[in-house]
Amino acid sequence: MAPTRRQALSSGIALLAALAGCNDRSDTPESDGVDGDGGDGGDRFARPENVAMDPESVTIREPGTRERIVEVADADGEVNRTERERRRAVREGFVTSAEAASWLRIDDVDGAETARQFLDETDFEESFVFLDRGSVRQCYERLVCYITWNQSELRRTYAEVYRDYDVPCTAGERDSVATFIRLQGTVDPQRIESDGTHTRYGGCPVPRWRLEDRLEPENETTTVTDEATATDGTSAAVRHSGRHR
Amino acid sequence: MSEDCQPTRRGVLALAGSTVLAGCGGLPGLGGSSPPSLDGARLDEITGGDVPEIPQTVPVTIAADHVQGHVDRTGTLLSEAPLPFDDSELPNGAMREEMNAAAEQARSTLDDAENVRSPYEAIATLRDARGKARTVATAWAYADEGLRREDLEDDADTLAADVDAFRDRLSYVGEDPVRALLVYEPVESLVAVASQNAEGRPENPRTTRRPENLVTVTEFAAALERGRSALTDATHLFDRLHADLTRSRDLAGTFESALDELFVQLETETSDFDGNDPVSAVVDADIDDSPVEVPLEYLHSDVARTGSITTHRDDGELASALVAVHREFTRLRAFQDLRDRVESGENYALESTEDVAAIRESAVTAIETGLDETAEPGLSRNTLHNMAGLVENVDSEIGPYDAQEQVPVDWIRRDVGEYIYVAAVARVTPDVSETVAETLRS
Repeated sequence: MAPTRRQALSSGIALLAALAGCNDRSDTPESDGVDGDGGDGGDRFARPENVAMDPESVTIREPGTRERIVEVADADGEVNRTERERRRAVREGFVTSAEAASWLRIDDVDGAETARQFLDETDFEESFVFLDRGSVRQCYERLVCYITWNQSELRRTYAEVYRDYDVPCTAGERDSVATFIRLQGTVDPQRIESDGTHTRYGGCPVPRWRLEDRLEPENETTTVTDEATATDGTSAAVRHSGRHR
Repeated sequence: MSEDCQPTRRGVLALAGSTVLAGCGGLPGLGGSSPPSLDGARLDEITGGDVPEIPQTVPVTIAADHVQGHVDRTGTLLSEAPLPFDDSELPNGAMREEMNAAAEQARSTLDDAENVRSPYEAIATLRDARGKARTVATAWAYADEGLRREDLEDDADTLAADVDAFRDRLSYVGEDPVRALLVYEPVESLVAVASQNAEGRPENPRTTRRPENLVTVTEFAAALERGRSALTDATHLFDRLHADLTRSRDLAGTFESALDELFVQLETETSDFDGNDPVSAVVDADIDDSPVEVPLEYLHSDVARTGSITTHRDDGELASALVAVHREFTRLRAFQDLRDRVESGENYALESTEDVAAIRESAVTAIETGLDETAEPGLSRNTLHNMAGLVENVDSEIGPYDAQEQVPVDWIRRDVGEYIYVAAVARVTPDVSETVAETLRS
């Protein structure tokens, strides 16, 4: 294991330790790939207005395609501007009424029924659904870690983790996925916009506003201890942990 | 801009954009005279020169059967899995690729171990091979036998208990304190590795909810394998030192008092240093744009960093603390050496390929001279080993170039500065080793 130049320079006058301590932990999935600050500005550690840790969600996927598996139906006949705006909001992911939910056309994929049921069970007086449509590497699944939002922006934080070893899949292929995330409270679909996603490989990141606590060894009591076990990525089971806000 | 003047990755890394442009054959309007360009082919020739071969060693005889033990264990682990895995054995294609790659790496690391220059380097390489082989064997056990992380907890507990037991019988004894130091320092490092690895992969404090899967279980198993290998090696080195002793004495007091004495001296000598000061404020010479500015900056910003000494001392790792003292003194003396040189007029000009050749040659010569002339080869050779490695690294950074490529001198100024760093460190190493050795033996 050759030290990098800068290492060699800064610690490099080191003696035997260089070999003795050669403890190679090169590991692929945990690398913080897409992770970054995401540029949401302001105080890095400020707690967002609304936070849902590990919210209830349903994910469905279709192998070997990037075609969307959930579409928003077009309105029949002529529609006015307001109507178009409402559908635009749903296409962005904000499903804030039973009527909006009824516009969703879910392809006949595994779990479609569960997803439909999830929507039907949602009480839109008290909650709303964010629908995230995209794709994921075929041998991985995307876990919802937490969602943060205020009246104008909503941001998703995901973990991309391996699917089980016995799930047949091809490295390099992608699957289309759609994730329905139920969040408590209401938002105005005309005002709110997506603030993008943040994906961590290997596991969920600790939210920034908790990071200071967690990196402070004296303060172990605030450590986040959620330890979900691997889920079978093919299922569409409702996941929840009741930790809202 | 002609093709020849496309900035290369190296050029971009080395310098800001405007400098890269300025090196491109004197574009108008950028002001000043353009720095010279160097002949790429000649640079390739220079950086292809010999580098002293200095294997890392430890002053005990590592038994051949101990080395063979690592080789055998690696082979056994690899034989446990059907390799390469096919899609019926590991259906998840991403995991399959990763595990088949790990098997390849285990085999190539095993081959590497045959080509190293010393038994000490061989066991370091083999610890790595064992970790990779364990990864592969564990992947198969996970798929075929349902092995899970909890099944490895006993292994982890046993390793932790064995580390504790070894620490209990680890005492600083020996005949010659310098030789003992050179054995105890890797022993301490290896035990620290074993101890850390017994806890498995430390949880990343920035990550939570990391689901267990085949890969995370293989990582845990590999950590345990590396930890076990490290403890085995530590035990072997310690036992060999003991076996060689015809008479021995307790050296803990010797180590402690030498450490105290050297630490006080180091603190006194570095009390005026502030690594945050710009180097131009502490060197009375015009070094702007000279390659010597680079090592002066590196060394100056690190002088007076004594944190690792106290950390080791607090952890009871006296030998590691002493080696850290050696390192810090080397830094300090190398800084002083370079400062004195530039203040007395040495200018480290970098205007032609022959300047590069001369500076590189002085680095190589300093390593060779250091090795030949040091009164304490044991203490000096590992520093010199690292410096030889650094020359190799810099060589590969500078080249290679396409035929007839012209290389703006700014692109390689930092690299050439690192040759100067090597020369300074190598020059002062014998004296520092002697100081440390005298203190230990006094």
